Amino acid sequence: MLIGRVQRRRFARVLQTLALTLVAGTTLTSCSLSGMAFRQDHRMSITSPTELETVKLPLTVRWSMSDFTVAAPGSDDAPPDAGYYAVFVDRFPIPPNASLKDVVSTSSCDADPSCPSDELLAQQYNVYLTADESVTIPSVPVSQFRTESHTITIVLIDTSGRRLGESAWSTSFRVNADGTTS
Amino acid sequence: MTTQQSRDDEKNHDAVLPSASAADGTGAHDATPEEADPRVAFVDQVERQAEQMRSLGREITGTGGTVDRRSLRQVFREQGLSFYPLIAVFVLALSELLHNSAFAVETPDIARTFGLSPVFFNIMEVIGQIVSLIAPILAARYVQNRARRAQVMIVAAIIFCIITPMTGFVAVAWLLLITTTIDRATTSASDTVSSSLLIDLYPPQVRVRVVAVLTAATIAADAVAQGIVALLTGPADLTWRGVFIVLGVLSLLCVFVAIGLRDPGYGKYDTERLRAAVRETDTAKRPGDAAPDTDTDAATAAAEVPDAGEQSAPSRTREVRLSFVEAMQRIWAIKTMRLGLISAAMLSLTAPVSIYIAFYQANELNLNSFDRSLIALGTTLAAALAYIVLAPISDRLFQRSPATMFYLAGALSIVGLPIYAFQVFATSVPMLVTMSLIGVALGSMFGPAMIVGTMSLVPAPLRPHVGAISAIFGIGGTIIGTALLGSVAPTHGLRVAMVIVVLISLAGSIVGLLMGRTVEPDLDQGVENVIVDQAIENLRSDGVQVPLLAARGIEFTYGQTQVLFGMDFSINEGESVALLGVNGAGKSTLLRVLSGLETPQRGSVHLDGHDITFVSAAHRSALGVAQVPGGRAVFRELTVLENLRCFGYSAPGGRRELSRRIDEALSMFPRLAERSGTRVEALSGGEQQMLALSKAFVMDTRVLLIDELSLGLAPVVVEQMLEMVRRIQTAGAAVVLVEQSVNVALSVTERAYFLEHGRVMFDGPSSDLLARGDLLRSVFLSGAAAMKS
Repeated sequence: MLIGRVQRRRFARVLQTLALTLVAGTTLTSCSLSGMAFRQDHRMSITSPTELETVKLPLTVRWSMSDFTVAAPGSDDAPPDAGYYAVFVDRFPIPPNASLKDVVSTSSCDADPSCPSDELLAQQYNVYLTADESVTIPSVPVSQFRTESHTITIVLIDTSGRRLGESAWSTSFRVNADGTTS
Repeated sequence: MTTQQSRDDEKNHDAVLPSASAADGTGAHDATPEEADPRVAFVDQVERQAEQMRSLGREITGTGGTVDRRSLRQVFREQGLSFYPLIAVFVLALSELLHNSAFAVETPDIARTFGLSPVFFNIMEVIGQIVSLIAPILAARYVQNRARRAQVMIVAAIIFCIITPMTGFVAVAWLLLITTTIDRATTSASDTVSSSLLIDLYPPQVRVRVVAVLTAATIAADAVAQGIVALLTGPADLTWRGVFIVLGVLSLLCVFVAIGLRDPGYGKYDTERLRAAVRETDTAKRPGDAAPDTDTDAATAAAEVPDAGEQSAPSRTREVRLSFVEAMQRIWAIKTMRLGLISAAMLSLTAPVSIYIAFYQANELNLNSFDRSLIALGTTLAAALAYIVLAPISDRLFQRSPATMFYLAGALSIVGLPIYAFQVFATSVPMLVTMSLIGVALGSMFGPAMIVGTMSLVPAPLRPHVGAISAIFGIGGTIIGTALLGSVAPTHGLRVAMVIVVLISLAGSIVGLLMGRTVEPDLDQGVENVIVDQAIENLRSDGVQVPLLAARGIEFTYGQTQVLFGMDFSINEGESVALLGVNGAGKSTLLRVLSGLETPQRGSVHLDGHDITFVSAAHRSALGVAQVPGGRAVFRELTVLENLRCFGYSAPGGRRELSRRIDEALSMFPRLAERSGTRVEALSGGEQQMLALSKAFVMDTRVLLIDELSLGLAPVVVEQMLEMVRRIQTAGAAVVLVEQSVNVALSVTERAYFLEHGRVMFDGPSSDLLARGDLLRSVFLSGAAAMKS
């Protein structure tokens, strides 16, 4: 009642303009071309399992990689684009530049620089770390279907435990509940 | 009724008995010769014109039974129609599809890039659903009474051009949420207006075919859009970012192609043609009229018409435009639309079925994504083919008999729906494919005709609202279907869940089939409304006096009990009219219909020649129609002054004007002025009634509807009230007085209606009613009975 109809309209217009400016401004400032991938990254090729192959557990995932310098976690003298592999089973990877600590949902890792350990990630979070071009997955999350479909996603991790770039490679495979491959 | 009133009535009874034999008691208007009452002449002229034009109206609107067998191209050529609007609407739809297809295909890659869990996409979907519910409403509201549908579609496409490449540049996930939300909003807004725009772009004879062509083309374009995305991700080797950027450029091309699309206005090929036909009929009636096109000629012709009516004053009421809520109520009041919306909601329960079928294909029949895509593509192409092949047939069927079309569509849906959903029982791939193709083809072949059919039922300016309200019901059904399948499938299995969904949806198909029963009367009603509106406009331009408030053919039902049966009523500017009859005759209900407190199931109410049937009571009060309900229509806890301010809440003119009117009311009734600061509960019954009547002054009322003025008041107070009514009338307001007391009513009114069992038994001068003892006796008997009890 205090604000007349005309004033309310003006106020709404101002709000609209502000909201639009805010959205546009935030959008523009958030856009940064660095690190964005516009073309597909073919450096990695997952050789096993093939897409939708029915497999038995434990499963060994194999791949080949080119133009990537492998470096152990914590290597101080490694170039910035060097690192190792993280294999995520049935879960989406961490965002670019995010740390492996982000996989662990609690803050228990904050005080411990060695946390999360490879074992913790593998056993509790289905994330396997390796500097090789293969990894063995002993088990997969249980599914309700007779034929279980699972997905693995491989990303690159730098020596400080952060994800390198936007590149991710994935494949799906099936595991029969009875352990057969037919 | 008070003892005094009953005594008065008895005296009156004795006075009218001798002349009772003169009346036969049959039907309305029996005591009023048409030539003596221009008001009756007006109603009859409108009625006559509506009757004459009804079948022509159905022909003009393309549902009259005459089938146009010309090919689409032939009609376009002969009527000088262009394919460009169709192409433009298609291209704009394509720009939406590009973004949507890219998102559908690229979601897993986007998720991998940002490390997004399905929860994020679920949140995105929920927000999208909410936006899809709101955006159609806003779009329909924006274009209501403004033919800016093409503008909405083009702006939406421009937004696609911006957000599609912007999606390719998002650096953080929440920006993705913004772009997809904008995408959902613009898509919903564009979809809301596109069907109604397309329908207004082409004449009724080809509408079903045009909609079918667009639908089929859109389905094909969807496949093409997905093919483009596949090409960009495959041979072009682009990531999802690259794909969105390229699609942004393609969207821009779409906008360039469609930029010339213009809104032709609402009802160009139906309502406006029908109006023109009614105008021509009116012009043809005038002797020696040569050129009906100009205002000058019309005015000259009007002067030549030897009409019984007086030259009318220019209308004080501007064109009454429905508010958005009133527009929605207007649509809901159409029975076929109600059935259609309920049916749409129930059928939408099957919308998520395709996702579960895809899971079934993958997990039980071991089909990979390529096989599944192939089946999906085949199914959509089967639907597109069904649209194209059947379009001419359904167009003709719709023109010949809309009812048959609706029956057939419902019946085919009853067959097609279970066939489609029960793919989850298929034991082999060929069986599944066959069921998929047949189910989709049967279920969707009359889709375009259904769109045209439902759009034809509503007034042209409300067609975008049909898009909005359909979207709301559809999304509602989809949400329920998703929840139902999501909760039942994991616990009881997919097949049990599917059976439940199909059973509910079959009920929806049956409801859809029932639309066939009501569609013809509703189409007739729609046509008649246009004719009546135009006929009134013609009469006004001819100089005929238009009643200030008129109700025509009112039918009203409380639940299963019909109260009013095709009732006609009218009152002129400054006139006073009594509504008489025994309890249950329908007097108060008619008053509530006139004031907008109730909406009739059939018939129309016009104020100053403008249709206000679906205008709310609040809106009507702003237009000058006020009601004083029976039993002290005041706020007892407030003071007199506060009550007067409340009365003026919806009155036009602002605060200063309201204060002026309140002062005027208080000066007219000094008794109220003396007690302006007193709480109303402390006032006497007469003072409270006086306060209630004063709203006529506060609201600048043009028609005051008074229900039971004398109820519970002493005779001396009643006399004061009658004096007040006379003053209100002298001030220029028309007064409708509902009374059980004949004495009271006839002493203050010039004309009276006598109602019995929801029908008008008498309509004429109040003095003539006194001669109708056969009618008045019942009032006295009921009054006596009431007194006895």
